[in-house]
Amino acid sequence: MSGVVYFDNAATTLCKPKAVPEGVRRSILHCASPGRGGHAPAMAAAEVVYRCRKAAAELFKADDPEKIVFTSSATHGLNIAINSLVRPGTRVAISGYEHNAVTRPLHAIGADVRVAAGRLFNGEEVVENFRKELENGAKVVILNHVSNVFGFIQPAEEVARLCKKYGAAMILDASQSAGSVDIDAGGMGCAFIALPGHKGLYGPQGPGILICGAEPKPLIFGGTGSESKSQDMPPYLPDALEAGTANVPGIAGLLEGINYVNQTTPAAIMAHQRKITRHIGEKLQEIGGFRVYLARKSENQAGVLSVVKEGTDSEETAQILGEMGFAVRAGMHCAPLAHRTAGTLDTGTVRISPSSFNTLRQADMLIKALSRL
Amino acid sequence: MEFYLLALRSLTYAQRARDILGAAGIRAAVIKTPSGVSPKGCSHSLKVRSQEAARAAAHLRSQGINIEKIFAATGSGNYLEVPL
Repeated sequence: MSGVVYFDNAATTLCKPKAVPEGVRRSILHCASPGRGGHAPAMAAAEVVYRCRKAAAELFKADDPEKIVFTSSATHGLNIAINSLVRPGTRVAISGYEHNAVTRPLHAIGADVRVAAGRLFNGEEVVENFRKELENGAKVVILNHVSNVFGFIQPAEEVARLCKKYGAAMILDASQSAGSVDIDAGGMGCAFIALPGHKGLYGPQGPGILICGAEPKPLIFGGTGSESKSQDMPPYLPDALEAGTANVPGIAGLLEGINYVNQTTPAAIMAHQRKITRHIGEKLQEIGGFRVYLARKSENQAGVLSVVKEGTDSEETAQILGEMGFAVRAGMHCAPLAHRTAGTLDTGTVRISPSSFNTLRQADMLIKALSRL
Repeated sequence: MEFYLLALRSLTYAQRARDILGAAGIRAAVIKTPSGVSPKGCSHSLKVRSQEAARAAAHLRSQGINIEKIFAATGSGNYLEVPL
């Protein structure tokens, strides 16, 4: 990593398990395209892709690997999910911490969007505000499981129960939770769960996953290697949503990343990341001069920490840290709604997000650097 | 070698069915369905030994797997649809 101390894992995990690049390399050398031939390289690709579906189904407790659809990103998956359920005027309740990957598609469709905003780290308030929106007729609920800005773990299971009670469809954006928070796709009964491969699952940039619990509407159309004589997309998963050549090298790397998460366990990964963010947050509070967005109860926050150096522009703080050899992300984090809800829209924040591979020693180096600003 | 083809709706479905058979001790291979017996265009099938075909079909059905059609290979690349 050329000497950079990398704390921008909420954007993309940079340090990967060794098996990830090896999987990508093997796939490039030996795998062709699944479903596009009966020869050995095509079948080898098909096996890699299927093994990744199975590993993901196991990790997310999906009852059937066919419900695991590979997308080009979590954003792609969210667009499929939203376009499957939302029409112009559909009343959609979203949390106060949604990413532009949710708000922009809703805006483009012309949905009737209601924000069920709860205060930061206040899960009870989030649940109560969703209840109100569901009583007022929301048909679709979209919930960011973990805020990409603040690490706020939103009460997904409680909101899913409410959706069942009121007959609403739920889309879970698991972009920041996948890999470090247990997700029971089968138990929650979400219509869709979208997630990326390149963050907490430690895969390469590229493949994402959409877990389908409802009937999807394809967003793109094309070859699938099945029912080729028909001009309609195959009506079954995953083919209905997987037009075009699969990103086999990306999926091969993702398979190794998921294997790592399955072996390490999301709970252990969360404990490690949380230990680091709480250490940094508590030290910065002691030092003073920082607004530190640290949950009082640690169980309400994942391994993502936002801070603001008083009197200093967040982008400038990140720029100086970058020059000192630390990679963090500043600004809006593509989630202006989250900043509006938390009251940081004018300043943005500096986000510190460790991975499984960061150490407390690196955290101390960052604290020292921040204290010198 | 005599074998049967169990035609299934998709590659992923065929892989899942293969694993279900494997767990029951029945060997099966995923192959592309021959064009002549694949009226909708490309699809995938499970290739199983003739003597295990009936057990394989029954086991898959008991696990909720929908087999579209079953063919017996008659040699020389010909297939005969059979009720199993």
